[in-house]
Amino acid sequence: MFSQLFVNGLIAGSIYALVALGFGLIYSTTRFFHFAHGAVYAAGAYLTYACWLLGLSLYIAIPLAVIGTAILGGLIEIGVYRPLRKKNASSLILLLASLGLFIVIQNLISLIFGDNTKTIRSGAVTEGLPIFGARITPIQITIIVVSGLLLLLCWVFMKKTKMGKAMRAVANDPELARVVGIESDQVILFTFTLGSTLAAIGAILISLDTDMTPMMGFYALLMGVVAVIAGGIGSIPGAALGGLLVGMAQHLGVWKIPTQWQDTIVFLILIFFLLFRPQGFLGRVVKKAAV
Amino acid sequence: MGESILSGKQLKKVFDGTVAVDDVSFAIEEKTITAIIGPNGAGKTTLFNLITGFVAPDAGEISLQGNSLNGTPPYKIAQKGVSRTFQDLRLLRQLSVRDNLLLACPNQKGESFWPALLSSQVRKQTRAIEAMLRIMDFVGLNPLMYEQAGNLSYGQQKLLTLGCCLATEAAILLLDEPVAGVHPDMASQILQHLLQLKEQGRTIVFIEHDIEAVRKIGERVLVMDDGKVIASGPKNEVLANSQIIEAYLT
Amino acid sequence: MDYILHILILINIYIILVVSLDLIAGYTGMLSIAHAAFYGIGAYATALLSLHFQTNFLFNMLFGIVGAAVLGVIIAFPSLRIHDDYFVIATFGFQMIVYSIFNNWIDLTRGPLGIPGIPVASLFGFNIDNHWKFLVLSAIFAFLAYLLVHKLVNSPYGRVLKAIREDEVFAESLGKNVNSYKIQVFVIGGAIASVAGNLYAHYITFIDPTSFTILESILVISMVIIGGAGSLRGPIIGAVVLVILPEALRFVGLPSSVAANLRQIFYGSLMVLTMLYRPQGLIGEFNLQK
Repeated sequence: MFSQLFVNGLIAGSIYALVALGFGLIYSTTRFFHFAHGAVYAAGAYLTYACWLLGLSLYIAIPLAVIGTAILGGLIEIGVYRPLRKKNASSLILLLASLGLFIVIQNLISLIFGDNTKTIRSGAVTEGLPIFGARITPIQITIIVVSGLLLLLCWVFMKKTKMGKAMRAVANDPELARVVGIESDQVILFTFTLGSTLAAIGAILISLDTDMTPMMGFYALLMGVVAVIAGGIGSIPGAALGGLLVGMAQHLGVWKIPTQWQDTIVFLILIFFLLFRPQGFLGRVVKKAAV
Repeated sequence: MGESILSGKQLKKVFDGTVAVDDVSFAIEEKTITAIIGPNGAGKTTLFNLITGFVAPDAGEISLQGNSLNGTPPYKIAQKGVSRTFQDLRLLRQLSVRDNLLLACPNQKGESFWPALLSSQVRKQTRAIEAMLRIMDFVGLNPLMYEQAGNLSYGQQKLLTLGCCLATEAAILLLDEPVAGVHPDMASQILQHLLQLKEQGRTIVFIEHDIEAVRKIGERVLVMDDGKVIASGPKNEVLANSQIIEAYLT
Repeated sequence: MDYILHILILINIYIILVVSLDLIAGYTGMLSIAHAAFYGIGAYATALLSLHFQTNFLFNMLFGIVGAAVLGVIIAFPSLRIHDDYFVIATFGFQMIVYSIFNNWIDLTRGPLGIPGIPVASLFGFNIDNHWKFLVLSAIFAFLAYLLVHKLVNSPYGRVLKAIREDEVFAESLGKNVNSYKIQVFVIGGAIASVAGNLYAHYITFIDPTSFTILESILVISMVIIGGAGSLRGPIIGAVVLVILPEALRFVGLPSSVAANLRQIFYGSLMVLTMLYRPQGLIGEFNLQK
C-alpha cells in the first residue's frame, strides 16, 4: 500500500516539478507570477489531441504540439508582457494581465473541445509492472524518467550554456545584465519558450496516463505554484524537490487523511512556507520592502 | 550640558555577511544639532534604521530617555517622539501637500474606525488643520497646499518631508540628507529652519555629505566609516582633525 | 421583466462585493483573490442557520459577518509577514482552502451537492418572496455598503489607507500602525462581502461551492480593476458592465455552456486589454503603475 502511494506520489511529483520549473524560471527572470502558465500547459495537451484528431500519429502530433505550445508562450510574451514591460508596468499589472490571459485561453479550450474528458491513449489499459510491491505502467515510468531527464538537462543548460548563464544573470540583477550587454528581452522570450515547452511535455505525459480535461491546467498550476514556493524560486533542484513534496503530500496524505482533503493539505503547505520559509527549500531569501 | 535623550550602545548589524554597523555607540544630547558624516556605505542610514526600528540590531541597545527601544515597532517609536526622513525622499506623491501634512499630525481620532464612520465632528479635523497650516507657513509651502506632492520640485519635496516630521510633533528629528541635491538658496532656507527648530527645543540629528552644511549648523559631529564611529565630539574639534577629513574624503 | 429584475438584483449583490474589495485592494493596495471565500461564508452561514435553526435574515447576516471577520483575521494576520509579491499567492492559498472546506466538509455543507431549500428572507414580518421585494432589499444593502465604505475612505482613516497603499514605510514612520490597519481593512471588507453572500443565499435559495471558487474571486477583482480601483464609482461601473454585457450573449441564443465560456472569455480579454491600454481602469484615479 505504502509503496503504491509512494509511486503515485513520485509520478504526480514529476509532473508538478516540470510545471514548477517552467513557472519558476519565468518568475526569476521576469519577477512576476505568470498564472497563464496553467492554460499554456493545458494547451499542450489539447494541441496534441487536435493533431491526433486530424489523423496524425502521436509521434508527429506530440512534437508539433510541443512546438505549438512553445510558440504560444512566446506569443504571450511578445503580445502582452513585453509591451507592458515597456510601459514600466508593475508586477501587479502583469499578474492581472496574466490572470486575464489564463481565463481566456482556458475558456477557449473549453469552447473548442468541450468540457468532457478527451483521450489520446490508444493502447488497452494495462495493470502495470510490479516493482517493489507497487504497480507502475510503462507510461508512468516514462513520466518519471523524462521528467528527471529534463530537470537534469535544464540544470546543465543553466550552468554551462551561454543562454543559461544569461538567464541566471537576468534573474540575479537585470540592470547589471543589461550593462554587460545581455539583451534581456531575448532572454525573457527564450525563458517563456523553454517554460512553455516544459509545461507542454508535462501535460502531454500526464494525458497519456490519465487523459485530459480543460481544468487540468488550472489544477496543475495550483500544484506548480505550491511546488515552486516550497522548492524555492529560481532553483532547479528546488523545483524537483518542491514537486516531489507536493506529489508525496497529496498521495501519502491519503494514508491518514480522507481523500477529499488531499488538496487542502497542499494549500496548507503553501501557507506554511509563505509564513515561515518563503524562500522555500533552496531559493534565495526574499525580504520585505527595503527601507 | 544637556541630558542624553537618545543613545545607542554597541550596536551591530550584519546584512548578508557584510557588517553594516559595527560596535557603534553614541549619545545625543537634548536640544542639540548633531551631524553624522562619512563616505557612502559607512552605515549612517542603517544607523537611522536601527534607531527608528525599521531594522532590528543583531546586538546592542538603543535607548530613548533611558528606556530601551529594542523590539519596539517603528510606528511606536515614531509615536514616542522620534521622526525621520528618508534618503530616497519617501512621500505620498499621489496625495496633496495638504494631505501629506495632515497625515503626519498625531492623535487624530478620525483615523480610528468608529469615529471615522460615525462622528462628523471628528472628521472636521480642526486641530490637525490648524497645526498643518502653521507648519505650511513655517516651511513656506502655502501656495502649493493643494498641489500633488509628486508635482513639487525636489527641493520643495524636501521641505515637505521636513514639514511632515514637524507635524508629528516629535521632539527628535532624524534627517537623512536634508539638503543634498538641493539648490543652494533652498539649502540655506532649510538650514535656517533647522536652526529655528533647535531654538524651539527640538533635537536634530542629520546625515549629510555637504561639509558646509555641517559647518553652518552642526554643533556636534559623528564620523562614521565602514560601520564604525571613528570620531565624535564638538564640531570644531572633529572637523579640525585632518586625519578624519582625509578618511572621510577617501 | 423578471429577467431585468434578476439582473438588477445581481448588480446590487456585486456592488456590495466590489465596494468591499475596493476598500481592501483599491484603497489599501492589498490585492486579494480571496474575496469569494468571504462571500461564501456569508452564504453558507445563512443557509445552514436558517435551515437548521430557522433563524431570521438579520441574525444570519450577523453570524455571517462574525464568521467573515474571523476569517479576515486568519487571512490577514499571517499575511502581514509575507513579502508583497507573495501576498496575492497567500490569499490564493486561503481561498483554495476555504473552497475545499465548502466542497469537502460534506457533513456540514453537503459538499458538491450544495444546500437547497433556503427559506426566503423575512424582515420584521415581511416575507421577501418576489423579485420586486428582493430588488428593494438588495438595493438597500448595496447602498448601505457603498455609504459605509464611502464614509470610511473619505475620512482621515481613509487617508491612512491611501498612505499605506502608496508607501507603508512612510506611513509607519509617521506613527501609523500599518499592520493593525491592514487587518482591520480585511475584516471590514470581508464582513461586508459576507452580507452579499447572505443576500445571494436568500435570493437563489440554493447554494453550492461552485459559486464561491477562485474564478469568482478573479471576477470580482476584475470588476474592481477594470472599473478603476480606488474610486468606488469605478468598481461599481465595472460590476454593471461585467454583469450586463455578457448577459447580452444570452439573447443571441447560444447554448448555456457556450455562453458561459464566452462570458469568461469576455471578461478575461477585458482584463488583458485594460492592463495594456488603460491600467487605471475606466474611471481611473489610482494608477497601479510603478
